[in-house]
Amino acid sequence: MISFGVLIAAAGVYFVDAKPESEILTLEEIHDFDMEMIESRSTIYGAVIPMYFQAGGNISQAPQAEKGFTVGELMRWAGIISITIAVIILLMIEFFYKKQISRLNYRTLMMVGMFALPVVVVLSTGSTVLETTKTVESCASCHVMDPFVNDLFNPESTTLAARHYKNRWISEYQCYTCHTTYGAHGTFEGKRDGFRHWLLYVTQTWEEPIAFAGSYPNQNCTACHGGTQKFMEVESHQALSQKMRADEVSCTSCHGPAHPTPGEREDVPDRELFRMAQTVTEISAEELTNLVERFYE
Amino acid sequence: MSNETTKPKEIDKLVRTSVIFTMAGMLLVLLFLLAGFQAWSVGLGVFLGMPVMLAGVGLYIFAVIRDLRFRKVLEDD
Repeated sequence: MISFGVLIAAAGVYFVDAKPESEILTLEEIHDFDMEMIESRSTIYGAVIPMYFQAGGNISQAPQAEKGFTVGELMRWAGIISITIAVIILLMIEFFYKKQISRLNYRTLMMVGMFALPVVVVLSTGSTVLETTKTVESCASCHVMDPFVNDLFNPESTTLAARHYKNRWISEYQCYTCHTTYGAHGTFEGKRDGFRHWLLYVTQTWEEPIAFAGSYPNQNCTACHGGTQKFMEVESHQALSQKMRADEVSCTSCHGPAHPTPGEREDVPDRELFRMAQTVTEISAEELTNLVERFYE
Repeated sequence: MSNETTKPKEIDKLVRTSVIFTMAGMLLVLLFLLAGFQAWSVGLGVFLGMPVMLAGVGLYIFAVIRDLRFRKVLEDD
């Protein structure tokens, strides 16, 4: 058991050490464009290029602010190892060596397999669920969400969500940051709705077009924007401050729509179309230079 | 030792059932932890695996209490 643990730890250390070196590309490795051009292009495309670099060439991946072995990942592995050990222990003592081992050893191992390790499994699974549901990928794993996730990656889109995503106003967990109800610190209703959505999805009983059933408090927006100089300078914000606080006026009334409307959803292009490779081949270096010059003019 | 031999088979069956439930639940949870967040893995691992595992643990507690009662450990002197 100890050897197994050491082996896992050694593999983990190697994985953590090896991954960044192989996946992180320097600017020189990626292109022979100079920095000025890259910066200009980034501006033109609304930060799509840095996202491409960060995602290691895959534009459909959400940008990650942090790399490395996280506590969430550690908890996931703790669960995997605990389950493996518990199943081996229970299988051995209940089905193969029940008669051979002493009663004390049997009871001790049962305590480990039936109590101690399941507690680790519950904690591990709970934290993994709450951690992974925060990612954009988890929302994208249900096809019903495709129009909304595709819209995030659409450089042409002017929806609130797309602008927040492509300009990296939110660096990671873009869905979760605005829809804060389903995370570890979210409401019970958020979890209940998550289960309801899953049930509707697997039984294919949802109704099209899907609509946001809950209420969206303005506080989700003002948590970042409220109190900033730009926000305070807008006269209508001050005039409507009381109504906004009471959620009588929604931020999306003026700044929306947050996502594509039902009529627009079918026309949202697939996010795979926005792979950087396509964009790079479409524009030659000469055209790019002209574009940058025109941009500066 | 005499207690072991006279212990009703029902308790042994309960313990074995609880072990099977716990193992089955944990293996389903393992699917979720390995496959990541997908609609099917969340359904099997979290919404099915976790209750099955917890039912196994609950069943084991029930079996232990039955066993303790049978041995008259829980009775007042």
